[in-house]
Amino acid sequence: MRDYVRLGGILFIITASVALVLSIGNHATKERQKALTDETANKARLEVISSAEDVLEDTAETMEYSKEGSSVKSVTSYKKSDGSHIYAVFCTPKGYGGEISMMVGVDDKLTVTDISITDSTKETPGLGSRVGDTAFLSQFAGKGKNIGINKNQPEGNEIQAVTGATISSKAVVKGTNDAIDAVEEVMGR
Amino acid sequence: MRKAFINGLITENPTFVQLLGMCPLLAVTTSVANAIGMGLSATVVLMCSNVAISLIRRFIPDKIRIASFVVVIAGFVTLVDLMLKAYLPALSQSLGIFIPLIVVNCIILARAEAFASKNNVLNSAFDGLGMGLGFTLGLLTLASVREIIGNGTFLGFPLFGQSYRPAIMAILPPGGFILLGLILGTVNAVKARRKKNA
Repeated sequence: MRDYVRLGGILFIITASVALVLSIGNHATKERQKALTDETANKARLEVISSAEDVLEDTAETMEYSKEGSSVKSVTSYKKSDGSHIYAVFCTPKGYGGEISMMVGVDDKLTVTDISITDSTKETPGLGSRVGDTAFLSQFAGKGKNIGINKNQPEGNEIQAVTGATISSKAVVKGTNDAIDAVEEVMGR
Repeated sequence: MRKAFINGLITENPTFVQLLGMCPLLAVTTSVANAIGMGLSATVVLMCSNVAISLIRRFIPDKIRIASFVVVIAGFVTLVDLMLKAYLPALSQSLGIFIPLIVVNCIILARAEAFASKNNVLNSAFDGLGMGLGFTLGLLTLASVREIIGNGTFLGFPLFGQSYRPAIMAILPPGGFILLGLILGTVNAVKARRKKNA
């Protein structure tokens, strides 16, 4: 009986000291982690709307968004100096190995301005992760609702998938289509 | 001290001789940068946990030693994870779940049990450093082969001209297994030849 108490006590001392060290470590890094996440998201937002002129950057207004079947997480709207709006949409469609985090710029005519992939590290490196390449993403600029995907000869509102990475490509297309739908809904409010 | 270091790096190399830590080895060696990040993180954890366990080895009763080792190791892994997230976010993202999984990396628990709990602090530190760098060497070898063949780059720099078509197979899981087998075979062949000559 005494042995149990002694063993339990010692294990408690060890776990308690580890917990103490961890709470100090967590406290020391928490703010920097949050700042980093905010900074990355903000940079990606400005990047995807950078092709539009006269965007008033300090009019940013972020709304949380959640809807069944949509991969959109938040919509940030920016005013332009002529009174119209432009949107940066954050979405996390499901790719091959997990969620892909991406930012989609959509203008008020529901066309894509630009896309930035903020995290494709769960995709196969060198294969699925190539959806982050400019060659693939630049196809999206100017496309409208219901973008299609084509492995060979994309026409009209279609884009060409990354060779050998159809699932990751489809995920980016789904994210973009979700983003356009979300903007349409937000504008209609 | 020197013996403890060389032992881990070469004589009892965790990857090529003991065949420990195969799961992270195959998972993160798709790029050289990942391999270096993973190897150094594991080395830091291994050194810290070896030192800590060696320090408290007389205090830990035999019956609860494994539980105590795991708690200490998990503590250091979590610290490393927090640091990576705060200061090297890109690396932290690409290593993903494999940083937290260092907790159950058998190399670290094996060194705690087989070495640190029986030896003094200085020797344990060098044993941790040697084993950690030995693991890093294993990761680096496999990652270099996989990245060069599978992606045509080394540390992200393109090695061949535009016309080179990378053999994607090498960075996919089957390629990892095949190349690991070939590397282990080469290491064994070299060792066998040396023995014969000696």
